[in-house]
Amino acid sequence: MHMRTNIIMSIGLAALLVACGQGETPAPDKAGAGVVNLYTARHYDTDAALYARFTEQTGVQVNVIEGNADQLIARITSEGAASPADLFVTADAGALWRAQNANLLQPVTSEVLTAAIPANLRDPEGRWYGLNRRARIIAYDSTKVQPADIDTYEEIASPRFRGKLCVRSADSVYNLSLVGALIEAWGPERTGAWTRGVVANMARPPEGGDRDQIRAVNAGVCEIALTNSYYYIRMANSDDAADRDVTTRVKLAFPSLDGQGAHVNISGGGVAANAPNRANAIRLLEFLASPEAQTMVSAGNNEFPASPNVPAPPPTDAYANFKAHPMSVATYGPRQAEAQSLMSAAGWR
Amino acid sequence: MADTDAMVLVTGVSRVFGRRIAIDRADLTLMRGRILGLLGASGSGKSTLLRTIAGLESIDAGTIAIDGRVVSTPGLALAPENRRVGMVFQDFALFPHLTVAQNVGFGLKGRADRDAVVGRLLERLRIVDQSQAFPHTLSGGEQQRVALARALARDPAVILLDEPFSSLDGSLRGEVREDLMETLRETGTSAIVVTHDAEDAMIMAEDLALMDGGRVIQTGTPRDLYNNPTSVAAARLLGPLNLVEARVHQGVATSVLGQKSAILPDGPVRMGIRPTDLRLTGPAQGLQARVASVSFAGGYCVVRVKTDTVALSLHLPGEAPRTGDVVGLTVDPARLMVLPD
Amino acid sequence: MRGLTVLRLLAFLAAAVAIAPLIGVVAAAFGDGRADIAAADLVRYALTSMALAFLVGLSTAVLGSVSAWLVVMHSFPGRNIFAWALALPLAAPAFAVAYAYADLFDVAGELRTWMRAVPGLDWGPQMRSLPGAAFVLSLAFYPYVYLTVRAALVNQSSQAIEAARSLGCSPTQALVRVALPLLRPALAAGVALAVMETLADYGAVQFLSVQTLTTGVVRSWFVYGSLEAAARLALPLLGAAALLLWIERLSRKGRTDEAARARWRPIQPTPLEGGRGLLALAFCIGLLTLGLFLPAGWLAIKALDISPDWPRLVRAASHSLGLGLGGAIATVILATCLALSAERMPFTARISSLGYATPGAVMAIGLLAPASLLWQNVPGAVSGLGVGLLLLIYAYAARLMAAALEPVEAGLTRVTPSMVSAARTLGRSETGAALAVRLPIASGAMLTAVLVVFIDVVKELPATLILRPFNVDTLAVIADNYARDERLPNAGWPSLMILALTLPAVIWLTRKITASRPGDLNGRH
Repeated sequence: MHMRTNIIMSIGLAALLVACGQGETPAPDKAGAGVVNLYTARHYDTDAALYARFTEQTGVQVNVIEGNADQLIARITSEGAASPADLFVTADAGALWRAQNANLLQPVTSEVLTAAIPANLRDPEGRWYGLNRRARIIAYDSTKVQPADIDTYEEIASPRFRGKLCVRSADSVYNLSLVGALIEAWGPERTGAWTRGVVANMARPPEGGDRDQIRAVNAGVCEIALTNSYYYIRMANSDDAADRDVTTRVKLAFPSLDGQGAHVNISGGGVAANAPNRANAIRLLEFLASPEAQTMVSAGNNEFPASPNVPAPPPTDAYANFKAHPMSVATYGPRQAEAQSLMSAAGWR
Repeated sequence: MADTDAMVLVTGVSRVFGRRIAIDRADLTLMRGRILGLLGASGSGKSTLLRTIAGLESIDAGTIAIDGRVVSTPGLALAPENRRVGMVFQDFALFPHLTVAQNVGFGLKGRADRDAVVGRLLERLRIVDQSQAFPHTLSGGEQQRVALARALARDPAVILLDEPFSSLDGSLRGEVREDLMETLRETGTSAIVVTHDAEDAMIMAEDLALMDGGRVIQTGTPRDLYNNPTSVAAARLLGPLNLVEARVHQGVATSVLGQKSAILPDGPVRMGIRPTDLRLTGPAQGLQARVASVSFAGGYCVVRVKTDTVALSLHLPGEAPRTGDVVGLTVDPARLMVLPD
Repeated sequence: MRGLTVLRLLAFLAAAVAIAPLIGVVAAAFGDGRADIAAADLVRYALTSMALAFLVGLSTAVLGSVSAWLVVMHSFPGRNIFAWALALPLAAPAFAVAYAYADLFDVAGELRTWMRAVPGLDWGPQMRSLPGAAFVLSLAFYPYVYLTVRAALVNQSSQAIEAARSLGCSPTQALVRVALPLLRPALAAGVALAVMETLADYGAVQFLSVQTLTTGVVRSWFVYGSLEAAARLALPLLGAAALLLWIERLSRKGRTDEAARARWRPIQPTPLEGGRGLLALAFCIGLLTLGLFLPAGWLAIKALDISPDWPRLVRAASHSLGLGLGGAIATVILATCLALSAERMPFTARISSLGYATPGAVMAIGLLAPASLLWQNVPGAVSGLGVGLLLLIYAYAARLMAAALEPVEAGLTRVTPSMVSAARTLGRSETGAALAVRLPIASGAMLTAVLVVFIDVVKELPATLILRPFNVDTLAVIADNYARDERLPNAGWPSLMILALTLPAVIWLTRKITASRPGDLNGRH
């Protein structure tokens, strides 16, 4: 039996070596010629093609660590000055602000970036740039709700929808950023009243993700649901017939905040404070901001391009023609903690 | 006796576990080539003493020397693997993952003559047939022989046997005991045998040490100890005993059993007699007693009798009286033991 | 014999490995930084955690002991298969079971939509709720109770029950008055394991929208950006983990004698006739279906709708396999070092087990502390793949030490103290005796430990997420990514592949455990 253990151990070690080999990582090159180390919380099946395109254009190899935004932030913090992180990419402006606030990002001035990305979708000091946009809007039951019933954010909290709203938990960063934006626009008191209205309107305690809310509208659990735009667009164009069926009854409305347009959030990125391959990081960021990359991402995940000059590819283009609020997305992050407290106080779990 | 003839010399050894004194200033000598029995009740400290000699326990006072070399003093303990002791454990402690031959050869790791030594021992102990068997398939007696062979393989200066027969059935016991003695004598091995069984100890050992409460209370030959124990505890250890109250007056102890001279101060003492040393005479002779019970025990009968003042037990070969009979008892004064209270 | 020997040094090393993350958590807890989580929310989290632990404890106790009782004490069709098959749900990660049930019974899902068309049928269990989470976790964790109770039942001599019967007890009375009290230690140990796993879980509970103390930890960390506040919230969880570990250990004490008793006689199972036999069969099939077949089947049905990114999945599977084996072997080696000295330093051994009951998110906070030391002080450590993998394997060892320690310790109990003494008097040093006698005898148990840890590593999520090196994804990570992105069919594939990796190990393990005889609990090879 001694022998058997030995055999198993050898197999294990061999497997481990194989696994290491299959990491297929060219050792990240501190000299900086050929690599860029990407820490990203954005992960789609089209990523591989996107990075391959960048490598094809520049010859720079992309090393990736995926994770959720805050774990990546914690990791970069722990890695300290030795961090190999070059570029940090995540969805949600709040998460980018948290990285900035932890001094993990460095200012970058790039004419390519400032030209491509509108001022309200990037950090004024250039520590991060929006790359793609999503709107946080309303999916509604077209058999029960008229678009006019829901053309402002106030109406989400109005008694008209008492017990008829589906919404996900307060833990969702997208909700936090939305409430953060409302605090920016309305101040905490009015926003507090709004969150209480939302809680009063909930058809059920918050559960599931945005897609679950949309499907709940179709199932008659509620009449309206708060969702990110791309989830709906994805369902409307899904391979799954059941998903497509949902969107024949459930429609998308773009409510307006103070008549200035819908609340938008971004996915974006910034160059890490200690980036060992700073130049490559900027190149990758510029690439991600390029019309080609914005279009590729948009085609892959149904977000809208950040740049107004880049037309959304189909099928997202059908929804792209909405008015977006011009508020700077940089305001969301600093308001998130306050937003969480307001939501908690209102009983929004 | 010259120290050079001592294979194991234990001097003033104490071992304390927390607040319990397991060994209390014990002295012990094992002469070269002899077999020493260490007899004591369970908890008397005899196994602990054996383990200190093996180096499996450290000591808190005294010294232990093996073959003239000090191996244990407080603060110094030669590791067991360096002591040239072989030990046979109560449960034999055979390694379940090794064959008989591998068990026996375990201590010969790296030695060129390993196979030869193992073969010789297996043969001597008549376990050649089982050499490729695993221990759990062996009988108790065979397991014991493997354990002994394993301990002998390294040609130790001394063999320590911890209750070697306690896990064997009665019928097997005598046979295994004979085997063991024969092997030890043939190999001229010095050995210490720990046991709680007086018969085992007396048959096997040439010298005997009695332990009680962590102390070595008496040493000597089995016969000497059996006949002349110096304490109640020693007398009891060596076999069944009748005890009665006695009193010493001017060098003579007196009890219902008779009188015997005793070099003890005046005062109360005990007088002891073995059940085998009481005899029946005809009625109206000797000490009058009534038979309370008779039990047949094979080669003899256990007869319990009562006098007016004491209850006694007799081991009688042959015909026995019946319950209720009145009998007379005689006592050979030479067999009486006077034991301090 | 006293003092610092090689073995002890190794044991201290292993203990240091295991304890470092926990020290990291405690150290972080004393730092500055606050999170404005309302007291009312904290109370709610704590109550939810307690309620969940209670519900899971109760239902795993019932499911586990009833199934063990049926299989050991009765004979009915399929009994021999169920003896090992009932432990199979161990192979399924709790988060995957949660995905499946949440989707299956979603109010807008296929099933409910179809039911809604039939008048009067519009009802379904609410999976995204406390009872739902308790349901999912109970199905995932009842095998712990099943295995411990089953072992105790098999080891328990039939004599006690026969004595009770001869003293006038009916079979039911014998169960209640004699068998159950005898089983209590095993039951407590199994339930403690299940509750530890419950408190340590994050993936399933979070997916099911149940907010527990772990939610508080995550919220403090991510929303309020305060690792320190998160660590403070983690302290009660650590305390609970320690308490459970203590209960588990305490209950173990009473068990050893039971198995070692000499007068052991196998229990003669009572045949269950006709309807009752079918009922037992239905119960076992039902349990297996709910715990494994239904969730796995549903994920498979959903997964078949899409064509997965095969190269990525295969790569991830090879990572899972390699890390699983590497992590398992490293953990077992460390646990063995610890176990070899555990008798002499029981406290160290116990405290090293704490990581097992520590919630993943909390452990992640703690793991960052030693990782950070390494990253910041060893040049090139962060970007080296080798160092990255070592760190990850280290994390598994710290987190899963208890899972390895337990079987290895059990295996080492087969080595009697006199065997070690014998080896010593036969010329081996303490270390030599360990190598020549203790390890070979415990090797079967070490193999068991390797498999147990392997299964856990393949299912492991939080440590992998936060510590893995560049371009190394495991199946669990991919499943989690897809689930977070609300793409359940995509998450189905990696979940099923995890099952494909762990199932053979679980089958081998449970068959071995259930085939072994008393006194030979860890098998002989």
